[in-house]
Amino acid sequence: MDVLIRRVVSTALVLSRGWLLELRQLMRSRLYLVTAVILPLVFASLAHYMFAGSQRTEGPLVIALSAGLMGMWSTTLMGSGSAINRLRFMQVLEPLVACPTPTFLFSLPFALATASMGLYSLGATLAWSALFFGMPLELASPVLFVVAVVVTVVSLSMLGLLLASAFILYPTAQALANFFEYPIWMLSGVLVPVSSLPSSVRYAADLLAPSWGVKAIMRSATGESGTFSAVLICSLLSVLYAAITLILLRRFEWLARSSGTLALQ
Amino acid sequence: MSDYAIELENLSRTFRVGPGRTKQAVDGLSLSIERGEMFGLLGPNGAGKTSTVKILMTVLLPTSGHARILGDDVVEQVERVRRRTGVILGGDAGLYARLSARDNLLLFADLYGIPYREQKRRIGELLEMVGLLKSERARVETFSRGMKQRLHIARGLLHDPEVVILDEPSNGIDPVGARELRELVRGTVRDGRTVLMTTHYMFEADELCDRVAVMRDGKKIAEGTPESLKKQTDGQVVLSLDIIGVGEPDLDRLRALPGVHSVSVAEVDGSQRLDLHCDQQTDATAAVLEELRHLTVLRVSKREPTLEDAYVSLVSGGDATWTS
Ligand SMILES: Nc1ncnc2c1ncn2[C@@H]1O[C@H](COP(=O)(O)OP(=O)(O)OP(=O)(O)O)[C@@H](O)[C@H]1O
Ligand SMILES: [Mg+2]
Repeated sequence: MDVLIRRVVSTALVLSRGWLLELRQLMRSRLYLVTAVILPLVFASLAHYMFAGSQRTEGPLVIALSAGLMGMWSTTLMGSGSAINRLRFMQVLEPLVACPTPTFLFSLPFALATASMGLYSLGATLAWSALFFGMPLELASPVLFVVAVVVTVVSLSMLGLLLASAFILYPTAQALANFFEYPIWMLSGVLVPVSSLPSSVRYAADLLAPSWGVKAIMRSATGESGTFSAVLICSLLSVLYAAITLILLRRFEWLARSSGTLALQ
Repeated sequence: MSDYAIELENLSRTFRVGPGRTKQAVDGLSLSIERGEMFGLLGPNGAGKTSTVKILMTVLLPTSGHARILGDDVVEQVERVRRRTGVILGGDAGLYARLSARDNLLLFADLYGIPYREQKRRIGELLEMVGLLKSERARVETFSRGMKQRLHIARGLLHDPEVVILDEPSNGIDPVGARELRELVRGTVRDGRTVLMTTHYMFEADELCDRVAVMRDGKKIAEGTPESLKKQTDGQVVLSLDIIGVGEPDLDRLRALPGVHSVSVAEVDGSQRLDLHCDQQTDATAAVLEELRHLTVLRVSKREPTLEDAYVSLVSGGDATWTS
């Protein structure tokens, strides 16, 4: 029991330090900082001008939220993959893999760091929308909203990590991840309501943890019922993603050692 | 359970280098390194040194053959190997450039499972040892090549490994810095620790290593003590010529001359420098100049062979193999 507790504590410490140092690195990239400040503003304006003239009947809150989620999406989903490629480029991937710790443990902090940036992106978009475009600040249930946002961002980073596991093996997997970004957006109901998609596509959407997260966020903001069940499904799917990632990373590490792709070529 | 610290058995690694084309980087390499030994792996560019190191550090799988560290197979018992082996890959990269030296070490201390209580002391000791205590808070991107190399060494020793593997520790470092680095490398050998290092420089291996092996084209072409390698050139002289326009057929004719052991060429400022290893007894100078009479010979000199010459002779010689 004692051993178990010590293990959990030390793992938590490893993760939190990894998370902090990953954030520190992101903060020291000027380009990254500039994008992080400007992007939410772009998303907020885009959403406002596009949706203001369209037929959609949602209120300004939902519009601002959709915009914020798009920002959170790009940041979180792509973050883990680009982090792994950055490591390969810096030639740190091999020393990291040569550590006795499982690959999952050194990858999780990227997911956490990018999730934090995603949270910030959502917050910033909402703030810009409130400041410039008159979005009302009342949320139907603020506590549930916060829970829903946290669960969503975790689910996004888990999905990001799942996609990123391929980056260990294939330096060119960036194209694959970019390819997935847009359909996953659609499926999760960020761009258009899922109900407007064909039914077969809708089933696929049900397998995506973030799409439940988005439902939970929207419901908690507007006061619809069903927030709690959406949060629950989102969390369960996230745990499932983490388990699959754990297995894939092991398998991909083996394949990468076999093909010699951990090195920069 | 084997008594050797590092044991390679017929180790091979092939890379795919294009559709249907492969490159044999390591070719049937066998080595046995004793515990506590400091062993040098020498060889020209592309000999397969780094590939061998990467197999030992468990980031590359062998295509065939076996490698064991302290009795553990590098394919089957990966975690045990990783816990007991420290790897120092040299170079400008390989560190978190945007983080400080201390942050780099903290990150890896976590991943090597060094307990929190010990991390501070251990990192302090190592930074002191490699002389980076003053710059511990500076970002690695501001470091000189030599400072980065010393940080690499500190990182490789974090978990106090029983076996340390260094890949070209002094590559790209100025002579003075390289000498300091060699001092550091020598310091890594404490009681019972085994060190395997690769290098291009024979004198470096001579200064540091108990035994060396020379690789060429993935194969071991020589193994023994640095002294035994020096003995190889006993009774030889090096005939050195600066010449213009020498070609492969000329070299073949020179190699066929009686009393000539090996011939190597290097480009020097628009001319070529030919080094011929010849028997002291049979003076081949006249015969050599006769073979080259159609070319412009700028300078001829004769000297005693150095250790570096012995190495060059070995690496550029035909199928010469030597063991002792
Ligand atoms: N990932 C790879 N893919 C394809 N070929 C490779 C790969 N890694 C190494 N090689 C090839 O294998 C051979 C041996 O390379 P290796 O890096 O092991 O040599 P080395 O002795 O370390 O050389 P150097 O002294 O230049 O560092 C070279 O011909 C190299 O081009
Ligand atoms: Mg090399």
